[in-house]
Formats: sequence, C-alpha cells, structure tokens
Amino acid sequence: MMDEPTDKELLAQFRDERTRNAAFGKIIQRYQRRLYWHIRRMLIDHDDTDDVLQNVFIKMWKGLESFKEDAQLYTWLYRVATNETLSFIRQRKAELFVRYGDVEYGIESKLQDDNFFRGDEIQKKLQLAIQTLPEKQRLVFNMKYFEEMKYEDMSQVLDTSVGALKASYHHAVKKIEEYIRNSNEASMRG
Amino acid sequence: MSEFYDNLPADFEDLEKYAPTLAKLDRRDGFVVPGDYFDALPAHIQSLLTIAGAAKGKAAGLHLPENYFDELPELLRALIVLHEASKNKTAGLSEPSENYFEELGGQLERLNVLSQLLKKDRPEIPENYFEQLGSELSTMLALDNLKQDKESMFAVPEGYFDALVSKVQARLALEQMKDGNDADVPPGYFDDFAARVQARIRGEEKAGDGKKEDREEAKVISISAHFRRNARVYAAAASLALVLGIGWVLYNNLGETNKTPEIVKENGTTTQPNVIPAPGDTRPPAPSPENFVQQPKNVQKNENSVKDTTPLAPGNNFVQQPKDSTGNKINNEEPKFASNEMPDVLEGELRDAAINYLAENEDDLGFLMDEIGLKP
Repeated sequence: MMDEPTDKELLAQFRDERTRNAAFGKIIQRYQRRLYWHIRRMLIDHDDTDDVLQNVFIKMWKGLESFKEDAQLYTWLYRVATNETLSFIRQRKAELFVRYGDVEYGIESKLQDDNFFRGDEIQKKLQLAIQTLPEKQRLVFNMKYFEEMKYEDMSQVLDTSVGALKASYHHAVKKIEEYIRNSNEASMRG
Repeated sequence: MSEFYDNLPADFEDLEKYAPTLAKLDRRDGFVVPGDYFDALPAHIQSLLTIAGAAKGKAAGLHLPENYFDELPELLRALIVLHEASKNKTAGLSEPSENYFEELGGQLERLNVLSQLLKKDRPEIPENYFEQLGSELSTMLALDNLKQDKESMFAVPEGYFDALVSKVQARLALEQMKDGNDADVPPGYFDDFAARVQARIRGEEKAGDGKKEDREEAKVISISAHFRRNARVYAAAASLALVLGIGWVLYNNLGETNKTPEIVKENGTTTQPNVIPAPGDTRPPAPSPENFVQQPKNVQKNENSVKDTTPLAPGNNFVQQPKDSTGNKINNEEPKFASNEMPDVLEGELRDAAINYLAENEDDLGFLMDEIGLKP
C-alpha cells in the first residue's frame, strides 16, 4: 500500500502545473470532513455549511500557491474556514436584523427537523447551550470538546494566547453545564 | 489579565469535576450529512473552478480565449457535473448561484451548435470557413459580454455628470451673449455672476480634479469690494473736495471790500482751487488738529461784529461770520467770498473752518493737509 503523501508533498505537487489539479483534489479529500464539521457546528444548517465550505476551498485554490508554509497546512485551512464562518454569521445577522432570541428559536426548530439532526434530547440541549456562547468561545469549546485540538494549534487558528484559550474553555464548560442543568430542572418541573 | 489566567485551576479540564452532566455525554453532535456529499464535493469544487477559469477568459473581451478548443472537453465535463449535481439531491450540494443553470443551458446550447457544426457532413465546406470561424466566435463572445456587462464597458470621467448641468447652462449663457440679444439674458443674471463663478470654481476645486497646478486660477475682481476697502480714504477726499468747492463758490460770491476775510488776495487775483489728488497708501502721521487752530482775526472797525473771539477747540465747527460793506454781520446767511479768486493756500478763517470740519469728520488729516497747504 502506498503511503499517503504528506502535506508538504501535496503542496509541492500543487505548485507543479502538471499535477496541480490532482493535488488539489487530494487536499480536498483529506480535509473536507474536518473543515465541514468545524463549520457545521457553528452554523448548524447544512446548506449554509456547504456554501461556506465551497468558498473555503475556492480561496484555498487561489491562495495555496503563495502559502508560505510557516504554519501547518491544516491550521491555515482551519483559519480560513473560521474567518469565512464568522464573516458568514455576521453578514447573515446584518442582513436579517435577527435578535438573539430569534436565532435561538430558528436553531431549535432546525434541531427538531430529522433531516438536520438525529441526536437525542440531551444532545439537542447541548447544541442549544453551545449556541448561547459568544462566537469565539463557541469556537474554542467546539475545537476542544469535539475535535480535541491542542491549545497550541488552536492558538494559531484563532490568533489568541494559550492561556486565554484555556480560560475561555473552562468558562464555556461551566456555562454549558449550568444551562443543561437548568434545562433539565425545568423539564422535570414542567 | 494574567491574574485571570493564573487563577485557573490546574485540573480545569476535568469535566467530571466541573461539568458532570457534560462528562456523561457522548462527544457526538447529532448532525446529519447528506449521503454522497463528501464523495461528490471534490469534483464539484473542481468544476466550479473550471467554470470560473473559463468565465475569466471570456471576460477578456473581443478575442477568443487562448486554448479555447483544448479546454473545451474539460469545460463540458465540468458543466455536466454541476448540472447533475443539481439533480442529485442526495448529495446535498448547493447550486452555485441564482439563474446558474439557465445560463448553463445557454452555454451548452452554443457548444452543442458548435459541435454539430464541426461534425456535420457537408458535401463542400465554404472557402475560408475555418478562418472565419474564429472571428465569428469572437463576435458571439463579445455580444455575450455586452449583454452581461453593458454599463461598465465605457469609462466616464469622475464627476462628469455632476458638473454637466452647470457646464451646459454656462455654455448656453455664453452663446446667448455672443448673439448679443440682451433681451434673452435672464433678469438679474449679471447681478450675482461673480458669486456664481466663484462658487463654480470652488466646486471644481472640491471635486479634486487634480489639475490645479496646470491651469491658472480665474481672478474675479469685485469693484464694490475695492471701494469698500478704501472707503475711508475716498470719503476723506470727497469731504475735502466738498469743502473746497463750497469755499470756492462762497469766495467767488463775496463782496469787494477789504473788510472781507483775508482769504481774498489783495492783488485781486483768483486761483483755481487746488485739486486734491487721490490719497496714496503712505501718509505722514496725522497731526493733532489743535496745532492748527488759530485765533480768528478780529475785524475791529465795527462794534456790531459778532465774531467769536474765543479760542477754537478741536471739533468746533467754526464758521466765519462775514460782514457786509457797512461792517455789520450778515446773520443766517452763507458766508460770501470773492467769486473771482481762489487762494493757492488757505489761510485765516477759511483755513480754520477747513481744519475744524476735517477734524470733526476725518481721522487722518496729515496727507490731506499737506496736499492743500495746511501746514502747521
């Protein structure tokens, strides 16, 4: 079985015009799922995620040739995906003039739709709790809790110090725990 | 801020301690992904990029993109992939843009016509057919570009439309003026013409046409502004001229006797009143009017003289009371002077009258006095 090419080898193949398309296809196959879930956990909606993900790869195509390799390829891709996601969220909020409460209702209705979500009740509560966090804290929580990314890599993606990221994660965990507990108590009372 | 991080407990990642509910959950988010999404995504992305590359070449303008026919099969494949993607709902791939597939259909149709043209079994091919084919395709592409991008083909200088109305109006006004038909000039047109021109110049400068250094600034000189700046000087000259004029008239009308004020010359000659030239910018400092006040000369011969012998103070508007030939004063009448003589230099009571009048009505007397011979 042939060894999979490393990121560096793929970059070298990309820079060669003869092998550019093939290398590009391999990079997409290697990172599409990780980037998809990174975006999807922020946006919830599949169609929005697809739009953003396509934009990310098109930007990758345009920017990869000048990529300086001072960071790893996947942290660079994560950074592009994060910026695209945050831009999408802000643009959507500005376009729709959506208040936070309306956002939460929209998310809740999507989480009810089987086409989008097939988790149990507690997982639904978890997603609602995550949506209550500020955008950057939400990113930190998702990247640590679901993807188990190292703080050093997260620091490169989010351009934030390791100490700040640790503190952010710790507070996010406490907030989510409180939300789920309150939600459970409300369900038991009601 | 570092204190905030330093207070973080060492075991902050221990979920069982700080978030027991969360610790019990599977680390799954529960989201659903359409079945073939990840299998179809790479080809979908590459098709988008191929179309984008072809569109870029198309936008180049009036010539056929390079390698157009070489890239045609790949372009067709990409178009087909995208078209299939729209039909394949299970892949969950989104359409690139609104009206995309309507445009796609148009492109496919053109390509279809081209492929049929190339395949068609013709008994004979017209002369120069393939040579002309390239230019025909270029024309088709150019027409397509025109449809898509009508407005941005021609560049319009910045600020052109903003200035157009005023330019046309000014040109109309000029042409009317050339015709010499004053009846067509709008009423009040010239009244604020200078202000309008200045406003237009300011407007053009604000628009920042960047060519200030290349053209001369038009100077609009306002006559009224010039007169306003020098109003006091002109007023002083006018006042003095008035005084001299009155003096000359009165002098000419004065009686023949020697008892008239000494302004009448003994030799009976008259002189033209001194013409006071327009004041210049440099003037000697104005002397105090008190220095020129003199005691009026008394006419002793008539005890009925009503001449005021008190010292003259600045500001007093002393008017010499003339006497008639009998020595009696003439009350409430203008002083009368010899009409055929005007002294070169004002002396005596007339000089005093002139001084007092000017002292009351003008601030700067120095150069005026020099001009008319009123020396201390």
